[in-house]
Amino acid sequence: MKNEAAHPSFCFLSGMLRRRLRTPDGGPLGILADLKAALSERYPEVQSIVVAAGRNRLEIPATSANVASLAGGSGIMQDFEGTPVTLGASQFLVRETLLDRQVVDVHGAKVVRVNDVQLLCHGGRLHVVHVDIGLPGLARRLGFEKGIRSLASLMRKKPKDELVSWKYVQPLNETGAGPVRISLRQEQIRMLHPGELADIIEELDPEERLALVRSIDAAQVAEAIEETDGSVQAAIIRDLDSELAADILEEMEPAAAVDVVEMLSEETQQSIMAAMEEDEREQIEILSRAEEDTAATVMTLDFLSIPEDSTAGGALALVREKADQVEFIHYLYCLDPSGRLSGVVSLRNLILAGNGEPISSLMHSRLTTVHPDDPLEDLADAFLKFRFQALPVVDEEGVLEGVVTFQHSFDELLPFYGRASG
Amino acid sequence: MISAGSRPRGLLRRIGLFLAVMGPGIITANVDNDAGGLTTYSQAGANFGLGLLWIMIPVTLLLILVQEMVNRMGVVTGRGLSDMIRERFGVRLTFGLMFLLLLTNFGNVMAEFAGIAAAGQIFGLPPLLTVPVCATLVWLLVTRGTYRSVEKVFLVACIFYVAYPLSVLMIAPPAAGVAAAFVRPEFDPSAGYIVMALGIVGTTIAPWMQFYQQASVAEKNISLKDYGLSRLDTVAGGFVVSLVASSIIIACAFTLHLQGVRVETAADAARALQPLVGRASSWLFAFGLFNASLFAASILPLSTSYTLCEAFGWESGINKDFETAPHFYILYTALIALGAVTALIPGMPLVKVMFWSQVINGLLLPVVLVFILLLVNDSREMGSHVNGRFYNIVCWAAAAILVLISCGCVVSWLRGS
Repeated sequence: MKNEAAHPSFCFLSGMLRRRLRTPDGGPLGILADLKAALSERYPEVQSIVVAAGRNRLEIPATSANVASLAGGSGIMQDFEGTPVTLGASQFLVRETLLDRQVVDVHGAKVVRVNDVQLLCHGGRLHVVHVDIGLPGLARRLGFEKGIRSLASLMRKKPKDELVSWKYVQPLNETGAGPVRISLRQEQIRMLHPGELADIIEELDPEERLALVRSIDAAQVAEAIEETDGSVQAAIIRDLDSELAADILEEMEPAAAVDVVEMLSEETQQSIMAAMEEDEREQIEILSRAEEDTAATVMTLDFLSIPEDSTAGGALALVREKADQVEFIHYLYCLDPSGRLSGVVSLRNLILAGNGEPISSLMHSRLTTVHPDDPLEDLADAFLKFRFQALPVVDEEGVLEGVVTFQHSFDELLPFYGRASG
Repeated sequence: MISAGSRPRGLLRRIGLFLAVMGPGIITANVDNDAGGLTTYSQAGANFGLGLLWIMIPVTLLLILVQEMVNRMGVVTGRGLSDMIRERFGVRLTFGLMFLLLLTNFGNVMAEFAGIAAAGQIFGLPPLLTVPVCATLVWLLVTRGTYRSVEKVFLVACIFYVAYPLSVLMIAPPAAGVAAAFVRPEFDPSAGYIVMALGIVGTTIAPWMQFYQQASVAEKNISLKDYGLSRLDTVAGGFVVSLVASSIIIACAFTLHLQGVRVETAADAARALQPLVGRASSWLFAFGLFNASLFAASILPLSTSYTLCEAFGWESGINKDFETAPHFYILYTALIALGAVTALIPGMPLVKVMFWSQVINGLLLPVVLVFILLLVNDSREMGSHVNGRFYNIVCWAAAAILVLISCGCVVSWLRGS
């Protein structure tokens, strides 16, 4: 038995579950019901063996002697002093948390179901190393793995083992002993493309979604949510507490955020809006008052504006200061003292100009503008005709209300571009 | 604040919400009246007159209770039924149940293609033409993503079922007699009667319906606040099924049964519509049967593939390609192809296929019902939305009675053979 412990060997959880455990002198202990593992290491180490005797569940320590027995296929426990099962903050029950559950395979960016768990026995210690999501794992649980393998060899094929390394597994179970959270996996999640994360979020059920959404930061959630289906967006935001929901909405494109907010019930809307920052709330309110299919619905309030009496140097300083918050920085909008739009200056012109040059001499003052109530079709026509990157939206008095950028309005305007060219 | 007062959207929005929530119940109900349903109800009326009409009341009640439970589970947990079964009962039980469900649903798919073949025959089209064309059509409709728009056409064509209540009105049967048949159970211990009763139960409360409805509700992300509307959707669906089914039985009882006609072919069943449209009855019936079969043939293989993939954790969905979701596409294609081929076997007794697939539905129902009852009463999943005590008593009693009927059915078979 000492030898077995010395050589690393793999074994499956399904092979251990329900095994009858005995003391060295043959006294019955019960059946193996679960394994308790700790998340402190890269691969969780099994710390104790949960034994069920009738209705009682006790845990006995996973000492090297016990581990060697288990890995060698025996049920004789050398150390069998049982204590009631307790679960610490970074501990989890392997069977209960993983088996038959859905987990996120971060590597393949998909949601999978765990058919079995593979453990590595090495140096008297047992580690969770893989989850088995393939057909052989399913067959093993059903007791006909051999049948599948011989059938496959008859067809001169090897059955495809699908083992996902624990490195790439994000357990989502939020029930029971609290969420299983590990920094490593969060790094993995952080590396996902928003579209991939969106796919994963769509596949999860509400509880798991919340668990995942709560564990990653608002900006990344916002990016991913924008890629999901409308009803999924509303479902996620609806179930979050208002503070977090507000944080996520603030990170979203205002136009997209409005679409989500409008799908919520009045009560939810109000509590989320109350939790939002002043600026973002204002944006959403303006956008949500917009008539449907008008310029106001696709405009953003995320743009740079400067007083017309400032200088190129002042303007560049403003660009440097705001560039990480404001996405569209190609044009700066120049305002007269009463907030009316008097001209536009491009970033290129600013860079080429001397620091002291007054803005009023750099800016273009013959402007193409749109009105908030202009239909989308007119907007599309204007973009096609003038090839601007953005169009300012001004009201009857000439006050600047917002900006429609070509890039952000693209999806909404696409149907009209098609029509115009055809 | 965004408030309803500032914009004239309040009422529109409420109607929109209603329409958004409505759907799963009504669609499930209309697919329920498929080829197997039309055949079974017609045979019940033709063979036993009004003798089985009483069963529609308990069956409708149970249908509504069962569908309400899965609907509630879908809204509360946001998960599908097979997902919940797998996580709660482990892989062995799930595998067994999924195997039975696959067989049963395959029987139903076969029945839909038998329905298409039978309807085609009335129009003078050979099954060798109609079945392959329709199988290909269904496969393309769903995999090319055009199904959602065609679904509305199917739903509108379901207006055909109105022909049965209208036919009953034209016949003008003695109201007192019909009313009495509804409320006075008339039990006949013969094997034929028991099998027919099980067929009616199985076609009205088919096991695929529970999986389908819970999955569609979960996919819609209906919030708990709108649950009232969703329940209304389910109850309305149940009544529609029952109204149509009862009308079919009554219409057949006063035409086929009085004339001593047994339903051997679809053309026989069509005679129940003669009082309404005379000679055009067979055409009208063929149209209805065709629509019902095609509608169900689009949904059943899809729902079955989704259910199995969900249970075993395979990628699924028509928006994925074959490479990503091979199990899903193989299952889906095999169900349609095999279902169509079986319906084409020369000398296939189409009406018998349609009927017996429904009896098998009835045999599986109590099994599925037990799973549902255990899950819906699990407070870890359902919180405060578990069943009430009265609800449970009725459902467990129904499950027990269904088991008894199933056993009775099997025993009478064994005796008979």
